Amino acid sequence: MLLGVQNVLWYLLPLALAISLVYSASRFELPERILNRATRLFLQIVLFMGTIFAILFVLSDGL
Amino acid sequence: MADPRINLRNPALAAVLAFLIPGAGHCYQRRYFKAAIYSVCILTTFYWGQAMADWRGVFFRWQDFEGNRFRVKDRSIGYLSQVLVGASSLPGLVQWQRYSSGDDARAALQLDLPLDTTFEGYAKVENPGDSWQGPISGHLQLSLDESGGQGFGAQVRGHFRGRLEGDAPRDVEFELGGSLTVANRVSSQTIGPRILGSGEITRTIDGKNAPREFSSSRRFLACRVVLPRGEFESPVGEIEGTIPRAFWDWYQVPLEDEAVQDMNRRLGKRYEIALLFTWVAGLLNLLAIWDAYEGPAYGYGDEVDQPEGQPNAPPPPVTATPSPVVSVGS
Repeated sequence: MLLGVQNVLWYLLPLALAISLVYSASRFELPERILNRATRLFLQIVLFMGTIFAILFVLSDGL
Repeated sequence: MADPRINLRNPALAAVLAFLIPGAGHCYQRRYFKAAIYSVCILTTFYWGQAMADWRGVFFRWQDFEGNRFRVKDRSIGYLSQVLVGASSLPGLVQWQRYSSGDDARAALQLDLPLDTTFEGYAKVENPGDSWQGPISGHLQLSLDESGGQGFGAQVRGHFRGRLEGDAPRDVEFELGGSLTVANRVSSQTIGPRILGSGEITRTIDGKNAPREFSSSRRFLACRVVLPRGEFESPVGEIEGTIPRAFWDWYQVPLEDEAVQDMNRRLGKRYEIALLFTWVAGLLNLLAIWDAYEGPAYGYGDEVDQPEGQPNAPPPPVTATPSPVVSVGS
């Protein structure tokens, strides 16, 4: 909660985790396949959002 | 078509269960691992959002008391997603029905009295020889006076016993009386409605410049302090404060415009994030409902991936019972 107070972007992590797990669970039945895919999807989401954040951060520098 | 290794049992029933309680449909189908994922992820997301929004992020409203539709921006469109979480958000529909009927929400006076509850607020008494003012807390009893009220609105009689806080704390006890009207806004003598998502509780006695306050769990009440003199009573002061509102009278009850603005003002971006959590939870449960009805979208999960352009290899042959192990000697 303390991290969330500092920056609401931290709320993205648990949200992305929940989305990854549920989405992957709805695709496959085998637990290990679900977990593997969820891990990959979670990292993809975080990487994508992190990239967008970095681009916007650079573009907004000096504003 | 679901993989034959997955027993969906009665898919329609499972889908209904999955809608009502995330994960329940999969429990019914004995798919416990997925049931755990769905229930933990979806319910945690939903209730976390609710908690971040001070438990006022989920409500439904579509039209005003007169039946006129709200403008699109004032409707709770997000509820259409939240309701997919099922039983956790269905109270919103019931509360909307109660609230929009107007009876309970507006005619609170007739429904509530006699009141016998705790009270927190401020009192100001100007009685010759005993003038005082300050914050008070204690027990309040209030009932309708059937004999009075001709031309003066509803008359009430009551009693307060509690403690005066502040510089010179002491026990206080006095009689209450006068007229009492029902209103959403603060006026000289009023009691807040019984059902409200978040009613105004801003104090006016000794709080001229006080910022506007809203509360869902407490409702505003103001009343005269009187001194009984035979058949008559003379006003000597007033009390103003809040009494508790029952959980069922505020949980998932529609927020009014001012209360929504207050939420945005107080919580800022956190309120938006909280709403996002509850919306996402509903949409995720849509995936769970579909999975309960139709099975996993891509397959069982043990198919062999082939290079692009070629179909995946079929899953291994289904065997109802394991074949007996036969040792073959070399």
